[in-house]
Amino acid sequence: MISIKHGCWIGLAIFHLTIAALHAAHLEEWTTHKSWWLKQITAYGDYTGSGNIFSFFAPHIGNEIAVVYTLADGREQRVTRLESSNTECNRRIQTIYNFFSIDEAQSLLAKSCAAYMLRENPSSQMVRVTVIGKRVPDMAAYRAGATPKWEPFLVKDFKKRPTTL
Amino acid sequence: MLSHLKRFFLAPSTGEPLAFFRIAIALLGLVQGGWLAGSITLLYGANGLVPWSISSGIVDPYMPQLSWLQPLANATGIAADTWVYVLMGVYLCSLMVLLVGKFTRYAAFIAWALQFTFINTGFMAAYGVETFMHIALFYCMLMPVGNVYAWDNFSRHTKPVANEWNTLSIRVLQLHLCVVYIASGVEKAMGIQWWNGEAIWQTLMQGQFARFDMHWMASYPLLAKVIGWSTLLLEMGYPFFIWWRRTRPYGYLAIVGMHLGIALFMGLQLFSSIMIIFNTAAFGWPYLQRAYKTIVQPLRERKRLQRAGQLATQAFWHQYE
Repeated sequence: MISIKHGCWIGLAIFHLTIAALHAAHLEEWTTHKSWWLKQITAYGDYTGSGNIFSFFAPHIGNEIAVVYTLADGREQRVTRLESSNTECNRRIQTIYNFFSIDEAQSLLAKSCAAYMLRENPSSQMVRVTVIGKRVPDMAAYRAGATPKWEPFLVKDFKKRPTTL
Repeated sequence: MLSHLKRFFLAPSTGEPLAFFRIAIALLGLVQGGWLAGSITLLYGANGLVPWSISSGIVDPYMPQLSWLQPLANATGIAADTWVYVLMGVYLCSLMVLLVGKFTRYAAFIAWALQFTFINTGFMAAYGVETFMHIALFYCMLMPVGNVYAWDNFSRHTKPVANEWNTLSIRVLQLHLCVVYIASGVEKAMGIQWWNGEAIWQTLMQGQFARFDMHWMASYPLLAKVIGWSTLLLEMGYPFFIWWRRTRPYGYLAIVGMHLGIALFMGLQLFSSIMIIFNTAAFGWPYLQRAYKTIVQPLRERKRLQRAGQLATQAFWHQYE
């Protein structure tokens, strides 16, 4: 016989794993209307780690994205990138840049990257954010002579607001 | 039916795999924290690359986030970023406490809550390792991970006690991993790139992942295809080969090999490590233990015997000098 205590814990375990499986199957995309129940299940998933989808590198590989900053202070300008010798930090910066592939996120993300660069470089008055994507030809095209190409797909200029006295 | 359920979930087992899970997860969290310590303000700061004003507008308001520190920063006059550093310090301390197994559940709770707060704020910078660290810390909070090899229960003479809670916990880890791999495999299989090998080629051509010059792979498309198909087979077949006892050791080795390959060729060391930890705690511990007993232990025994022999020889000569 299974005791009540054991039964409760097994029930909880099954519930938790079911939520994990439902989220892995994109539960939130099944319906456009987010009911009260779905909200509770999403919250449970968020808190417990059972609310993830696991579409790592799936269904296809996105283009690599890089961001180039052109900083100007009125007299001269310089081109720079935001990266350090810390590979793990660079990976996270890259993960943030990958959001540039979402059209709706581009404007806001460019603005926040520009603001960060202007804060980090206080002498600069203006920054141009150039987002470029790397197009890698497929294997057959590469064998035929095509080469990977970096192509800019977003260019935005930002100026420091004059400080009000 | 009930007896099957009972045997599956509640047959007693020892807590060593869970202790391994606790120690390895805490160690990995410390390594990750140390690795990112110099970039905290960039990734999680109030005016970081994605500032709090943006992240708090995107993340659901019921999720703990670092922007909740703003009133505290205003009230104390201490910069918000200083509080972020304080929280990171507390997070690392809680991982240290979790590592040694002192106040295990409390330490796991603090680590889980703080890691959750950090990943909610820095959700745009988070990738697989954060996802699995969150899952792991939640499990460390609930599962009996502090029953063995822990300060709280340390004794040189007591042996790990088998109980049903260890088994239930391991079963949850095992089934969760099956969900993870089958979902990941099915999602990959829905794209043509994993079937024709282009996924492998495209990934290895990206500067963010490439560790070696792999241009030569374009001349061997079959190799890329075989790697793509193997990944699909390993991920979608995971629940089957890992569950059948006969194929389990080979399956475990294959999946560990796949993650080692990801670490080596794509530079995702932290992600690979956490997946190997999950797999070892869930399925691989008995094989690790057997390998230790058949390879490491005899070597240590031999070393001890050699040392005893040297001491005995020294004592003999000393007596007759």
